[in-house]
Amino acid sequence: MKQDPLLQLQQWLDVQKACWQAILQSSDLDTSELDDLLSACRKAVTAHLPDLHSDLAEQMTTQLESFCRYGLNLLKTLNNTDTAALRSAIESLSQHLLQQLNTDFAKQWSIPEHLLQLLTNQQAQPLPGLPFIQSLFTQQQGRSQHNSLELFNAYDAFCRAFNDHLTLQTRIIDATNNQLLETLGNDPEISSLAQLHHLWIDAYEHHYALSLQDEEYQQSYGRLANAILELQLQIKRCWQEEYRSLGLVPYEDYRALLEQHHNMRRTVSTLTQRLDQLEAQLSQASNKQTSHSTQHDPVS
Amino acid sequence: MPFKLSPQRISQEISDWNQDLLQGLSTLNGIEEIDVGTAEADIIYQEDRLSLKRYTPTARTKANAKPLLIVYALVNRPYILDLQPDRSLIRGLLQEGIPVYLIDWGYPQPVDQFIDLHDYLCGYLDRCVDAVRADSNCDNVDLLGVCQGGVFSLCYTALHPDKVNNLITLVTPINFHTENNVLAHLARTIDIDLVIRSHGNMPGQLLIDAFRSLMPMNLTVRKQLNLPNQLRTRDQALNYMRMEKWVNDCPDLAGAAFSQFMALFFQQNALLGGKFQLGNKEVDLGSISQPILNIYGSKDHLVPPQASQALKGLTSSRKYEEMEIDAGHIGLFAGSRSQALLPQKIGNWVAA
Repeated sequence: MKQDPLLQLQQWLDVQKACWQAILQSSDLDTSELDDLLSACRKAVTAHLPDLHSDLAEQMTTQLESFCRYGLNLLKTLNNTDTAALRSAIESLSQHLLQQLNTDFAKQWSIPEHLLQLLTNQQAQPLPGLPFIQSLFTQQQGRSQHNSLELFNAYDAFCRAFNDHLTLQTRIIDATNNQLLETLGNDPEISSLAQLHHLWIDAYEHHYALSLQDEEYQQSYGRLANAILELQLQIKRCWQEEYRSLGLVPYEDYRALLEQHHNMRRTVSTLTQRLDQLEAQLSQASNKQTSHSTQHDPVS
Repeated sequence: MPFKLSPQRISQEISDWNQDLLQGLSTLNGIEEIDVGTAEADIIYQEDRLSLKRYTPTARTKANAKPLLIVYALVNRPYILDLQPDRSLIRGLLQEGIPVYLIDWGYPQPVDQFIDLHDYLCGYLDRCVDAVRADSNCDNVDLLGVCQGGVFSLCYTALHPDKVNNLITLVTPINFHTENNVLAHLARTIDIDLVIRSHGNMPGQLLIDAFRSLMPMNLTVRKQLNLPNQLRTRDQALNYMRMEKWVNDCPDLAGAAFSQFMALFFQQNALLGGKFQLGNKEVDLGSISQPILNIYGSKDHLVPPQASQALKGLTSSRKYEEMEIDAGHIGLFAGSRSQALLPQKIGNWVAA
C-alpha cells in the first residue's frame, strides 16, 4: 500500500469530522452523506492492502461502520428519557451486535441472504453459537433439489431441533437485556459506546455460560448438531444417485476405494518392517559367519 | 436516560476510532509475513503426512541427558510450542541443554480417514520413537505429551515401557467426566459416527467453530472491538497475528482415530478404569512405573485442573509429581509468564 492511500484516508477522516459537526448542528440528523463516506472508506482501504491483511482491515472498517451507524441511531433516541426508550435502545444494541455476529458468519460460510433471513426470522439469533450449523452451507448442499422420505424426515427433525434451540437462545438474550437494564438502573455511569458494547457482551457471555452448563441446553445442542449432520448426510445421498446415473463415482464407492487403499498401505508398511527386520537378521548372521571363518582360518 | 453519552462524546469516540483504524492500517502496511515456528530444526524422519524434527540445544547438554520427544495433539498445530522467539517452550528447553525432537502430524487428507489410534500409537509414534533412539544413540527417550498428546504418551508408555525413560504430561485430560468440563459435556451429545459418515475426516473448521461456540461473543465481536488495540504497534500486531494464525490453523482429524478417541475417552472415560483395549493390545496404566511430571493450568477452561489431577494414583510411577501453573490451556506453554518457569522446571526434573 503506497503512501497516497493513507493520505487519502487522512483526508477522508478530516471530511468525516466536518460531516459530524454538520450533523450535530443540524436538527434533523441527516446521515445520508456520512453513510456514503463510510462505504467509500471501506472500499478504498480494502482495495489497497495485500490479501494477507485485507481480512483484518475489512474487519476493522466494517466494525467502524457498524459502530458509527449504531452511534447515529442512538443519537436520535437520546432526546427521549423514558424507560421504554431505554429498553428500546438496549434491544436495538442487542440486535446490532447479533447482526454483526451473523454477518461475519454469513460471509465466512457464504450463506445466501434469503437463507440467512429464514434462519434468523425477524430477530437476529447468534448463529455461531448453534452447533455445526455451518456444515449445512456448502455449495453442494445448496444445489440439491431432491425430495426423498429420508431427506424430508431429516429436514423436519432439523426444523424442530432448530426451533427448540432458538427458544433457549431467546431466553439467553432476554436475560442479557434484563441484566443490562438492571445494571444501567443501578449504576448509570456509562460514558462511551464501547463501554456499552462491552457491558452487553459481558452480560451475554455470563448467561450463555450458565446455559452451557444446563443439561437441557446441552441436549438441545446435541439434537441440533445431530439433526444438521443427518440432513447433510441425506443431501449427500441424494447426490450419490445423480453421480451414479451420470457415470461418475459417488462418494460411497470412493470411500470404499479409500478403505482398500488404506488397508493396502498398512500391509505394505508391515511387510516393509518385516523385510527390514529380516535384512538386519541376515546381516547379523552374515557378520557372525565371517567372524567365525576368520577365527578358524587365520591365514586367509 | 442513564447514559452520559452526549453527542459530542459519541462524535469524539468515533473520531478516535477512526484514528485507531488509520494507525492499525499503517501497522499492517509494514508487515509482509507472519513467521511462526522459526527455531532451527532438521527433519530426520518422514512418513505419510508426518515429519519428525530434531532441534539442537543452545546450551551445554547435561551428561547422560536423554532426548526429549514432544508428542503434540492432533488438534491444531505444534508450532504453538515455538510461536515466536520470546514465546517458545522449545527454545526454552534447548536453552536448558535438552535435545528436543518434535512430531509434526501434518494435515490428514481424505485418504487418511481410516487411520485409527492403533496406527497412530503403535505405528507412527512407535517408529518416531525408534528414529529418535537411533539418531541419539539412546536406548530410551523422555516423552513430553501435550493435551491429547499426553493421552497418547501415557498409552504408548504402557505399551512400550522399555523405550520410555521419563514421562511429562502437559494440560492432559485424564478424567473426561468432571462436572466443569463443558466441552466434554457437549461432545458427549454429538453422534460421532454420524460426523464421520457425513464428512469422512473430522473437519478442522468444525472443531474451530465448536471451540468458538463456547464463547461466541467474546471470540468474535469483542475481538473485533479490541482489534485496534492489538494493531497499535508492529510488535503487538505480530503477537496477535501469530496467535490468530495458529487458532485458525486446525487440520482435519483422521476419521477413525477421531471416532475412537471420542468413544474411548470422552464417552467411556477409559483412562480412569486403568485398563482398556486399543486395537489388539491392552493398555494398562497401572503398569507404568516411569517417573511422571504432570503439569496443568489453574485457569484451564478446556482441560480443568481436576481433569488432569485424576492421573495421580492411576499408575505405578515410582516418582509422581504434579505442578499447577497460574495459566490457561494455551497460556501454560505459549504465555510469556510461563516461559521463565516451565523450561527450567522440566530441565531440572529430567536431570534429577
